[in-house]
Amino acid sequence: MTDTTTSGRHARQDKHTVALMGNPNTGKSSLFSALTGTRQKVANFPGVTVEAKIGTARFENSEITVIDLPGTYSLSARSPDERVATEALLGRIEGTPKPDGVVVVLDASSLDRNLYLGTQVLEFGLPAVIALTMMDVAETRGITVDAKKLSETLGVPVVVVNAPKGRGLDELKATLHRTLHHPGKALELSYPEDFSRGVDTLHVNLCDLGVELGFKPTRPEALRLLVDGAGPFFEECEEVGGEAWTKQFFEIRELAGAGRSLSMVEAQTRYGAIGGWMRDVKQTETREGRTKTDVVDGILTHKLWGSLVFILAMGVIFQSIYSWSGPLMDAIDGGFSALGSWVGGMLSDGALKSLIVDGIIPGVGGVLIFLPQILILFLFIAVLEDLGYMARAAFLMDRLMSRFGLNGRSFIPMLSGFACAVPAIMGTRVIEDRNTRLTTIFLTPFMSCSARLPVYVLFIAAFVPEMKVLGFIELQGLVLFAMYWVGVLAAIPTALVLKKGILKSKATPFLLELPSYKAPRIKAVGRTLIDRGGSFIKRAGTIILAVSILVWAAGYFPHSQAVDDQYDAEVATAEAPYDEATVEFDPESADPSALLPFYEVDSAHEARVAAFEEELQDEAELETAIAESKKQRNAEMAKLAAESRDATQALNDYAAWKDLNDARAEIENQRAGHHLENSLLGRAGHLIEPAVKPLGWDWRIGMAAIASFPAREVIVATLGTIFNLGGDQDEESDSLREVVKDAKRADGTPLFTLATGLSIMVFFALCAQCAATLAVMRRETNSWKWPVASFLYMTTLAYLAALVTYQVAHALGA
Amino acid sequence: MLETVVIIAIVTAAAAFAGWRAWQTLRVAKGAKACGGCEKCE
Repeated sequence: MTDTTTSGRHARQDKHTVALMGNPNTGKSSLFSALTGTRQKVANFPGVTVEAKIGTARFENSEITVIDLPGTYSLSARSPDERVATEALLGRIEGTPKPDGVVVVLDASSLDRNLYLGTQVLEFGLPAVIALTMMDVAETRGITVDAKKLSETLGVPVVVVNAPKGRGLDELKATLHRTLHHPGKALELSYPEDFSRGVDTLHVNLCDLGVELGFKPTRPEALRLLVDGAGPFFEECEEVGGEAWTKQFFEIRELAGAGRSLSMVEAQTRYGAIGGWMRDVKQTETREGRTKTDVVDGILTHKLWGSLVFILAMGVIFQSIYSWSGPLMDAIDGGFSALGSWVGGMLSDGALKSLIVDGIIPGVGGVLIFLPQILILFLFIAVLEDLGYMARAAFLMDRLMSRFGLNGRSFIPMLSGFACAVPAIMGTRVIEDRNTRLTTIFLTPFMSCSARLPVYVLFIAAFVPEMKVLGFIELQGLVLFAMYWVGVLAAIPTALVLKKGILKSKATPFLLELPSYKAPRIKAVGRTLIDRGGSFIKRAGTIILAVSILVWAAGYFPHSQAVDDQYDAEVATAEAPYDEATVEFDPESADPSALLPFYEVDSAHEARVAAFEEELQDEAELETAIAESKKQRNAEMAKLAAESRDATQALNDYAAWKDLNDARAEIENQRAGHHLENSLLGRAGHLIEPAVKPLGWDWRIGMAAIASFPAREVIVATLGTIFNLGGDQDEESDSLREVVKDAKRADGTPLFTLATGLSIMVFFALCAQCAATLAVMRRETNSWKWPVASFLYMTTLAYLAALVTYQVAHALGA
Repeated sequence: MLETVVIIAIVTAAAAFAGWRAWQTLRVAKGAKACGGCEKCE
């Protein structure tokens, strides 16, 4: 405890550090956010908080640093997250302040079970306050908890809090402030005599090792070590004390147990004490029959009905991603397109204009256009999480996963891998068994993270027709749903091979807490959307922007003057047969021209055709509509031409201008293509082309895929930049979806077909294209072996799967 | 001339930023950064 006195008579300020401890799903993270104002994700999965989070709460003149420790069920030293909690509680984590006190968060609706950890923490003897949460949930279950009696029984102040509604927070802070100044004493439980003697002997033994360990172990720590007989602390002592210590340790254990399991002795003592206390503290109203929650759980976790609900829920998500995002995507697309035209009009031709118009705007804009889809995906995930559905889905999937040799705990990080593999891999710390943890880390990157979504959406929108299956299911949404299964299907045999081979381990029981159902909180869902949307925009504005600039530079330089001269000469030759009025006509120019009325009539016709193509699905209907529009255009032009001889001449000049304009556009495309082929990017691309050709890709797709190895969504930005530089983007087709549809190979055949699109999507579904994932894999496994193996395995698998996909689809005529 | 200078400055800044990000990722791998290196805690 530190008292800091500043100058001034009344400016004395206290500074304290307290730790927040509790089981998962007790509302601990919500309490942390409410106390500190720090924004933090509250999820329904046990073990989401795998790292200690720190914030600051204020009370009168006090500043309280609050450390939010991982949610755990006990302080057992077996799993890394539980050890982190104990280490942090004792102030032995570098860079994390030592707590002066602790707030033990207990869920009133599961008080007995919560007190198991609670008693372990209170034994450490730190000044403590109990925050009793979920009183409302307890009431709905007919449970009444007497907070005053609980406080008297444990000898620790108890405050009832409801963090989401802001109730009890001031009282908690005030109680905490008082307790830190007037601490109580450690909780003492009555263990059997042999057990207590064993703890004392081991404590003395550990104190002897203290100098080499670098800290003085406490008695509760000795108790933990005695019972657990494994874990990082045991390994540390074994290393320091050597064989002699290990031998002595097991002798102490044997004597302490007196023929019984030590875990059993501990559990019996704790639950025995808790059971006794509960008789006075807790009243449970006996209710006949099943509660509403039981009925709903019966359906959602049922093998058949639960699976159907799960498939339905996922189906709705993927359908909505397509159905709802259209207008927003078009608005963003239109915005960037207008920005490109405006900036293009402001700058004179040259490298700077190309950098902005061909590099930055299509690169960043091409990625940002997928913001609506990302928001819709996370809207559903946040609502389902908040509702309490995700834990039921995990329970349901656990049955399936256990058939493939995976521990049920593996499914939780893998499920969060659908959002992002980085926190998912960090979440594997809750898995006790090393081999299962390594298998889960290896499999998590196969889950389709949100960065893959733009890639799927782009190619599905370009190649899968907008049609309905069975009259109500969007085909595009169905294909997107299928793409999410590609990674899962690849993970299953991989899991089987790993779990039956090098990472074999015994099956361990899976305990999953099913949180109570809650109405989604608008604020929490909104916060998730702002966080996720913000991250996506930030990525577009930082790494995507940087890569777009670098790809542009590699695609623009060296920029040969000789190539420009050659195409300038070709333009001059194309213009030579036409008169001046035709050559000089510019619809954007302010100068009056007799050709302009004809241009306007023609433009109106083109706008109508574009609208028909967007609206009409039926081929015959579309043809009729276009023919009608053409008839209207010809009639209007004939009417204009009939006005005078000059007008007739203007119509002829306009027709000539259209031919010339097409010729000039073709030359400009060739010029851009030539520059791109000559560039650094083009030269490197041609070197790798033989390797990607069997996948149906040309060098441009190959280079975009290579540029995407640090972060997979970069492909969208890179393709946008490459096609702009290469002249594949004309004035009308300004969206990347359209460009992808229209892009041609050197021989004039379409570059992207359905087979190419599928091959790219399968490659991206399976390839290890995320540097952050590989880095965190290295850190969590403490070895380069796993990230290297993951990278090689996933990339090879992705290549082979894309190869088979393309070759089969191509053979089938796709 | 000014255009060339601006282009060189922008491309160099982009390369420096990409390099810095690569270095940060390596720090995560070596355990020097507590976070996972995802965009949330950049």
